[in-house]
Amino acid sequence: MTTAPSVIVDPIVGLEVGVTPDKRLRPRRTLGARIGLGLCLAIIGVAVLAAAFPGWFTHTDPYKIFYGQHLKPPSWEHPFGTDNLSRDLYSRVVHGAHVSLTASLLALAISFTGGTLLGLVAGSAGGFVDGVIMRVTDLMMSIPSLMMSLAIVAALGFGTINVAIAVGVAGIAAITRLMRSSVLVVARSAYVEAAVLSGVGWPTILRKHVLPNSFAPVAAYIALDFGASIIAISSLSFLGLGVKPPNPEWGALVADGRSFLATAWWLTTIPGLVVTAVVVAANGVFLYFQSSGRSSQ
Amino acid sequence: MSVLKIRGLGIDYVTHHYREVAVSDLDLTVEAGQVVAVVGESGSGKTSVAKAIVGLLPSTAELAPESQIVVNGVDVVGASEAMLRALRGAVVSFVPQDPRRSLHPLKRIGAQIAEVLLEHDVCTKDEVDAHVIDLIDRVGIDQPDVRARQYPHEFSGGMLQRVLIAIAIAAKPALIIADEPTSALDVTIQKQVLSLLVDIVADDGVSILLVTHDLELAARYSDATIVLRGGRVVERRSTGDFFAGPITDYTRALLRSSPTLQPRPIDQSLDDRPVVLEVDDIRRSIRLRSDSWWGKGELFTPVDGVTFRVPRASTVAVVGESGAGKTSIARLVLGLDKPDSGRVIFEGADVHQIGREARRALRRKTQLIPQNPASSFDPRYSVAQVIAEPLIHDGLDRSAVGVRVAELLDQVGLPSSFANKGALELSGGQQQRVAIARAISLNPRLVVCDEPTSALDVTVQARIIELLLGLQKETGVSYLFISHNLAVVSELADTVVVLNRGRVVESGHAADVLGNPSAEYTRELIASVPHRREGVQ
Amino acid sequence: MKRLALRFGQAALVVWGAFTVSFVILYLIPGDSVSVLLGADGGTAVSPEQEAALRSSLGLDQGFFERYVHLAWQYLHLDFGNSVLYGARVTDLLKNALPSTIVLTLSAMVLSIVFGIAFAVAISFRPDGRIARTLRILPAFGNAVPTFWIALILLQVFSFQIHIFPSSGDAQWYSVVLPALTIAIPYGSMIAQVTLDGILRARAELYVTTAVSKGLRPLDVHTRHVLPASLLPTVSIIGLHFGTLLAGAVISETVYSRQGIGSLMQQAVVQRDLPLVQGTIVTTAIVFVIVNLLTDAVYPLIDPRAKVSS
Repeated sequence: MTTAPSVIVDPIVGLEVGVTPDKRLRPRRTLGARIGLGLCLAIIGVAVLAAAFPGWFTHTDPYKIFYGQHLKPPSWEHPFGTDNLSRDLYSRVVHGAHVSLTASLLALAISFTGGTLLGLVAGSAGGFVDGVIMRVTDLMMSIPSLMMSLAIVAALGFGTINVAIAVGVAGIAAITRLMRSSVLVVARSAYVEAAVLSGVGWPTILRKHVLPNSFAPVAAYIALDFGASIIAISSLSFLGLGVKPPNPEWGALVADGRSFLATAWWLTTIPGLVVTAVVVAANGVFLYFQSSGRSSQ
Repeated sequence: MSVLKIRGLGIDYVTHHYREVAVSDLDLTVEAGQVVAVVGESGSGKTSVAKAIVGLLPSTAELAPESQIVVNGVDVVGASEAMLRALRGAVVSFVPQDPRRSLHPLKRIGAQIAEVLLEHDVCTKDEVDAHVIDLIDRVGIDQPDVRARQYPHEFSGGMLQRVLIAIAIAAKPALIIADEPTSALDVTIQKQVLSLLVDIVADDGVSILLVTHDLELAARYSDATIVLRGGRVVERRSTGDFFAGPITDYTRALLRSSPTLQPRPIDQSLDDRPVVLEVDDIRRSIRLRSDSWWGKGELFTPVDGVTFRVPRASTVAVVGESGAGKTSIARLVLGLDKPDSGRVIFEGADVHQIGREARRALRRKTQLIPQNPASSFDPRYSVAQVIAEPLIHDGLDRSAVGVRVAELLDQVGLPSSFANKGALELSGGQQQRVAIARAISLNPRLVVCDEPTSALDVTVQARIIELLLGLQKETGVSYLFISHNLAVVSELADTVVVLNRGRVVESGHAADVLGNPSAEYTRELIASVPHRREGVQ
Repeated sequence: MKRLALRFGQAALVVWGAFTVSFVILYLIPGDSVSVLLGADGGTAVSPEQEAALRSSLGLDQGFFERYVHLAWQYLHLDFGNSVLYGARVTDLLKNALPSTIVLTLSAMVLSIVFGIAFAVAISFRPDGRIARTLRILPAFGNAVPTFWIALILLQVFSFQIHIFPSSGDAQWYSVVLPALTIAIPYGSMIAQVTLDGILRARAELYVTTAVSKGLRPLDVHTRHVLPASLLPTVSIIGLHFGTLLAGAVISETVYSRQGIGSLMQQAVVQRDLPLVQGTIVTTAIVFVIVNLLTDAVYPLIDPRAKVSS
C-alpha cells in the first residue's frame, strides 16, 4: 500500500467521486496518553495557582516560627514537616512557587521573545543579516547554557531577577535557531512560492503564511523550555545565587536542607520532588503535542 | 504443479477504530516459468498481495479465514515463522521498489549478497566469495571483485537494483516477486533493468510476479495479466488476448487513459502566431559548496544555453530525465531565479530586467501548476482561500472573489461544495484541479506545468490532461509543459524540446521529434517508452 | 588532510567563541567589576592607590577593545591572569582541578553510554510489549529531574542509609561513583532516547525488509541490520552533548565537595572572581572540543559514507 489516500475512481463519470482518507495514517492519541496529558496539565495548573494565590493552599505564614517544632517529620499539622528554624515546610514550598515560577516565566519570556524575533529576522532576511545573527548564536552555543547563566550572574550580581535574566538570555540562542530553521522551511515551501507567483508582496506573505506556519512547531517547545527554565533557576538558587534568605524558593529550600541530609530527609526530598513533578509535567505536555504534531503531518 | 496458487485471498487492515478491506476474494495462479503481471492503481491492493505471499504484511493486516496461498506446494497462510524463513530467499524472493533504501548503507555489497547464500546453505563460507563475484558479474556489473567490496552509496540507482536482483536470484528461487521494480528509476535505466530481470529468469526457468501500476509495462513483459481495482480482480487474461479486447469498462478506461506515443499532428498555423515567451540562450550555473575553506566548489550547470519560443495558445514540452535541468528552466522562466546569461522575454519585455511594478504585473500573466499541489497549499487554508489568494491580491472585492471562486471551481470540474473543505483533505487529482483553478484565476497568458501529472494514477492523469487541453481551447493560454513522460507529452505538446544535462539535444514539432527523432538520446528515450503490442485499437 | 585541518579550525573557533562570549558577558555588562570585587562595604578599606593597581591589573584602565586584544594575547600564551580570590595564577588553579573533572566526566560518559545503549537495546527486542511501552517514555523525562536533587537523593541513600559510598571528597577511586552517576542520569537518558529512536526508525527501513525477505532469523535481522544502523545518531550526539556533563559537573562537584573545574567555577561565581570565571569557561570549552575531535575521528570507522567525501 502506498501512503496516498485511497480514491474511489469512477472512470465513466471521469472524476474521483469520493475520498476515503487513509485513517491508518492518523492514529488517534491513546486513552493512556490523554489521561497522562490531563495529569500533567493538572500538576502545572496547581503549581501556577499556588504561585498566583498561595492563600488558597495554606494560611500558614512561611516565616512563622513554631517553637518546639524543630526539624519535625511530616505530620497532619505540618504535611511537609518543619525545618531547622521550626518553620512549616509546606507553607514555604507553596510560597516558594511564586518566586520559582515567576522567575521561570520571566526567563521563558526573554528567551522566546528574543529567540522568535531574531529567528524570524534571520530566516526571512537571509544574506548578511542572517549570517551575523547565526554567527552570534554559534558563539553563544559554544558555552553550555548553565555556565553561560553562571557567567551572566557573576557579571550582573545575585538575586532572583538577575538569575531569571541570565537563564533567559542563555536560552535565546537555541530558540533563535529553532525559529530560524522553521522559518526557512516555510519560506522555501512551495506554498510561499505559490504566493510569490500570485504576485503577493513579501510583507503580506510574512504575515499571512510565514509567521503562523513557522511559529506552530516552535510553540510546542514553550512547554519544554518552561521545564528547563524551572530547573535552571532552581539550580542557580541551589548554588546560592538566587533569593536571599529567609525568602522561600524551591532550589534554595533544597539547598537549605543539605546540612540536615542525614537527619531530616524531608527538607531536601520534598521540595526537590515538587520541582521534578512540575518539570516532568511540562515535558509530558511537550511530548504529547510533539508526537501528535508528527502524526498529523 | 503451479509455483504459486492463491485462492480466496482476503486482506483487511484493522486498527482500533477502523477496518479497511484491501483485498477480497482473490484467485491467482503462476505456472513454472511464467511471468504474471498484477496491475492496479494506488489503493488497488496489489502491494498487499505481494507482501502476503512472503508473509511480510504489517501487524495491522488480517487475512480472511478461507485464504489460501500455496507456494511450491507449501501453504503460507498459517505456516510457522521457521517455515516462512525457509521459503524467503530460497523459494520466493523479492525485488523491491526503491533500490536506494533497500540495501544496508553500512554493509559491503558483497556481504549483503553472501548473506542469502550462507543462510540457505547454497555454498560454504570458503566458496562464498567466488559465488558472490559470479552473481555480480551475472547481473551485468563490471569489475565484480572491486564492486563486491564497495558500499551502496558508491553505486547508482540502476546498479543497486541490479544488486538486488543478484540477491533475489542468489539462492535459485522458484518465484521472484518484483514490486514496482523500476518506478524509482529513470526511463532509460528502467528498460535495462527489466530486460535483465526477464532474461535471467528465462535462463533459469524462474517465475515472476510483476506488480506494477503500468499497463504498458505489463503488456511488454508478461505472459498473463490480472487487473485489480479496490482489492478485487476486474480482469484476467493472457496478455496477447487482453489487448485484443478487454472486457470490463474499468480496464477499457485504464487502457484508454494510458497514454501512448501518438504525437499530435503538426499545426501549420503555429509559426504565424504571436510569440508569448521567448527564451534566448539562457545559462545558469551553481557553485556547489566546497568542503574546504580555500578551494572553490565544483561548478554545476543545470541550464546550459537553452533556446526556445512559445507561440500563443500552444504547448511547448520540455522533456528530459531527472537532473536534465527541466525545473531550473521553469524557475528561470517564472523569474524566480536569474540566469547568468541569456534572456527570458515575455510579451516583449525581459523578465529579469524589469522593475518591481512591472514584475508584479507579469506575475499575473505567468502562473505555475506544480508537481505536488499539496505542498503548494498553505496547510491552514481551505480550497476557497487557496484559489482566492491571487484574486484578493489583485484587488477584487470580497463578493466578487466569491463569485469568481465558484466560477473557477466549476471550470475545473469540482463541485462548489468543495470551497470550504481543507485543501489538504482532497485526493491528489482534486488537489491538482485546485492548483489549476488558482493558476488560471487571473487569466494568465502562460502557465508553466511542472510535471503536473507524474504523481497521479493513469485514469486521473488522463482527466487532468483533458482538462488542460479544454482550458487551452477555451482561453487561448499557452503551456510550458515540463515532463519526463514522453507518452504524456505526445498527448498535448505542439512543440517538443529534448533536454539532456542542461543542453537542448533536439527540438521541433512534436510529430517530427517523436516520430522521426534525429538525436541518439531522443531515440533512446523513445525506445524506453513501453509500446503497446501489435493489434491494439 | 583538508578535512582534518577544517576540524581543527572549527575546534579553535569554538574555543575562541567561548573566550569572546565570556569576555563580553563579564566585562561589558554595566557594573564596575572593581567595586564588585572590592565589595559594596569593603571598598572603604581600600586606598585609592590599591584600587588603581587592581584596575590596571585587570586592564580596566584600557578601552574595551584594547583589553580584549590584550587578554586574548595573554590567553594565547596560556596566561589566564590571576585569581582575585586566591591570588594564585588561574592556570595553576585550573591545572590542579582539571584531572578530577576529567575523571568525573569521562566516568559519567562511560556509565551513560553503557547503560543508555543497554537500556535501549534491551527494550528494542520487544518494543511493543506492555512493559517496554511504559519504559520507552522514561528516557524522555531524564532531563526533568534536577541534577542537584539527584545528587542529594543518591547521597541520602548510598552514603547515609546504606554506607556504600563516601559522601564527599575524592580520596578513594570509588568516591567518583556517586558524582558520576548523578550527571550520568540526564546524559544517559538522552543517549537511551536517541538510541531507541534510532532503533525504532531503523526497524522501519526498507533494507530491513530486504533482510527479512532473505530469510534471516529475526534475531539476526535485529543484531546484524537494525542495531548497527541505529547507533549512528547515538555516536554523533555523544560529543555534541558533552557540554551537559560539564555543566552537570558544576553541581555534582559542589554537592560532593570535589575539587574540580565545576566547583572552582561555582566558587568563582559566588565570589565574583571574574578572571577565574573566564578561565574555567575557556577550559571547559577546550575539553569540549577535544572530546568532539575524538568522536569525530571515530565516526568514519562505523559509517563508510563519512569517509568517501574527504
